[in-house]
Amino acid sequence: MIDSPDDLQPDEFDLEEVDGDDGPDRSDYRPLGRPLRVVVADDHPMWRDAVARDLADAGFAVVGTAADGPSAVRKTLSVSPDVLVLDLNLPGLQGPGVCAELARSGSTARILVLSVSGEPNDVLSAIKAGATGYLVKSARREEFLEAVRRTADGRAVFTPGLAGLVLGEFRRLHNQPPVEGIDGQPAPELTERETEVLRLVATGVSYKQIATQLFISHRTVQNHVQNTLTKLHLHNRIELVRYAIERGLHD
Amino acid sequence: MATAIRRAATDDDSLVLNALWGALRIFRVLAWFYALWSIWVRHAEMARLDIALWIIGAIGVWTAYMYAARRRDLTVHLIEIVIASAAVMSTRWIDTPLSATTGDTTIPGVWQNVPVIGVALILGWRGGLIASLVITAVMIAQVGVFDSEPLSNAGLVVMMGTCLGYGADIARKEQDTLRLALAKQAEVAERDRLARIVHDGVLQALAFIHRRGLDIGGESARLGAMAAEQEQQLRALVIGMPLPDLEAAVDGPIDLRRALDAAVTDSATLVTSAEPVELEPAKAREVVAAVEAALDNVRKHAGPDAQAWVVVDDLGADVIVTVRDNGLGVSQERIDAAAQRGRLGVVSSIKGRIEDLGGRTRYLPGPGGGTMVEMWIPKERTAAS
Repeated sequence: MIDSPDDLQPDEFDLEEVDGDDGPDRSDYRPLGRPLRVVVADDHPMWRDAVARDLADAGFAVVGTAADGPSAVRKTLSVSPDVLVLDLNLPGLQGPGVCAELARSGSTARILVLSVSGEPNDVLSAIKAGATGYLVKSARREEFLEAVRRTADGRAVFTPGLAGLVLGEFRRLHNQPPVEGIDGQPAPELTERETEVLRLVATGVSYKQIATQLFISHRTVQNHVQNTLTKLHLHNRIELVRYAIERGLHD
Repeated sequence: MATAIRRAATDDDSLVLNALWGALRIFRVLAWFYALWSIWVRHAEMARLDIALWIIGAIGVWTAYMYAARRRDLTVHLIEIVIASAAVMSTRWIDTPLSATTGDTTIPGVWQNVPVIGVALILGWRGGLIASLVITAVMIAQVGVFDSEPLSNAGLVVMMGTCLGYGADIARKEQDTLRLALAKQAEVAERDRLARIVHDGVLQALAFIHRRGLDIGGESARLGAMAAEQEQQLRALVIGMPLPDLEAAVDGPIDLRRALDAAVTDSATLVTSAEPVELEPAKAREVVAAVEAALDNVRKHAGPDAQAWVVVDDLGADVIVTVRDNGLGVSQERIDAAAQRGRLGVVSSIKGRIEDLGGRTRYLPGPGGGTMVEMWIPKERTAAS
């Protein structure tokens, strides 16, 4: 873990570091040599340019930029990038709305939220609506680039802060009356192990350390984290369907 | 948005005034039918029924015009006063002997009060008073005797004109107050909106400086750190988290996340849910104090490079607050040994606070080095305490 050696970084969230030891089952579906294609959506030109430049310098192909929500959706749908780097505070359509819209349109682009907001509800909404990673804007360049790579590979980018939000959301769901799934299946809950892993991630423990602590492989830790996200997305879909049904009955 | 409110407000008629105008419009029509009916009742004794019918017909045309045009200006109501006065005076020559000499009734009947109400609604109580005095004077002049039936009616007319005028005054004043309040509200909303835009720009710039500073390193990293600190403070302001003290002042449960937000600074990271974690103020204060003690311990013993995380996990009935650091750490043996020698100063103070709340504390080596303090706090006080 890049246990940020400088105490100068009062960041809310530090990126969980990537160890190189998960090579074998890395889903590298890209043809060799093709650069990752990225769309950057941010309403601040300063940030949009800086992020795009960083990506280009590191060998990524920035195939589009967008300054507002609706154009972020349009761009992403038209160029189908590997990753959409998404600011949450966008005019026209906020970040969570962009995620929902893309999910509805069947977009295959993976979404990495890069935001300054820190407003927990916004972050959680975006993640629930389909984003698979979250990073604060003040994260260092290397952390950011690594996060984009991980997102492209379909791996969740979990910071301690995000782990806390996801854990909190499952706690909230648990304390509610049980929800029926779409096909009569009970809505998924976290297993004890997943909860444990999530709590450890929230306390800033690296995947490697968690693996050692729990006597499991690094890959298993990653799977547990990934599962929590998958279940959260499933929950979100169930909620949307229920909402639609309730609206349908009332109208 | 703001202009819409202002436009709606300058259309000065309040709900009350609108209702009164609506009532007057209907009343004018009913009063005309009443006048027609009462002429029909006494038509046999009337001196000049034909002229009376001409007059009532003219008033009818006017009434129809006023019903259709919905005019609310002063001119039209002054004209109406003249019409009413003329109709009242005509009673003297064309009506029954009884009406002509005693003022028992007049040609227009209650219709003569219509313009009084109109003027009262436009000009307020003073206008209502004057208009009613004018009509009263005409009624007395019609009879020609001062001490007569019209005089006793005068009291009613004057009272009606003045009271309705006064009511209109108050309604108008209310409307002004409402308009001011709406304008103020729009102004505040607008200022909030602008503040958010400005703040967002500043936040973005600060985060940018922070990031670039870290990339460059050295002195720039220090500048970046300063920017980050400002960014955090400003963000807390923009998100509009109310002060814990303020929440406590209204005596409700307070949000533990916010209470901790003020306490967790520097190299520590606060990790919470998106939902509020509510605790009664006294309990929350104790938890905050315990977390502060734990962080203090980290600062003293974990080494200069140590980072800490404070995790709030809301289980519903209980809350688990975990403070972990990645510092030098201690082994379980050393913790036990220290405890036996009674040298767990800070830890025992944390333990004491949490146990007073009916909770439990665990102190253990953190995964991968460092230490971890787990505080388990029941939201409701348990029977044991």
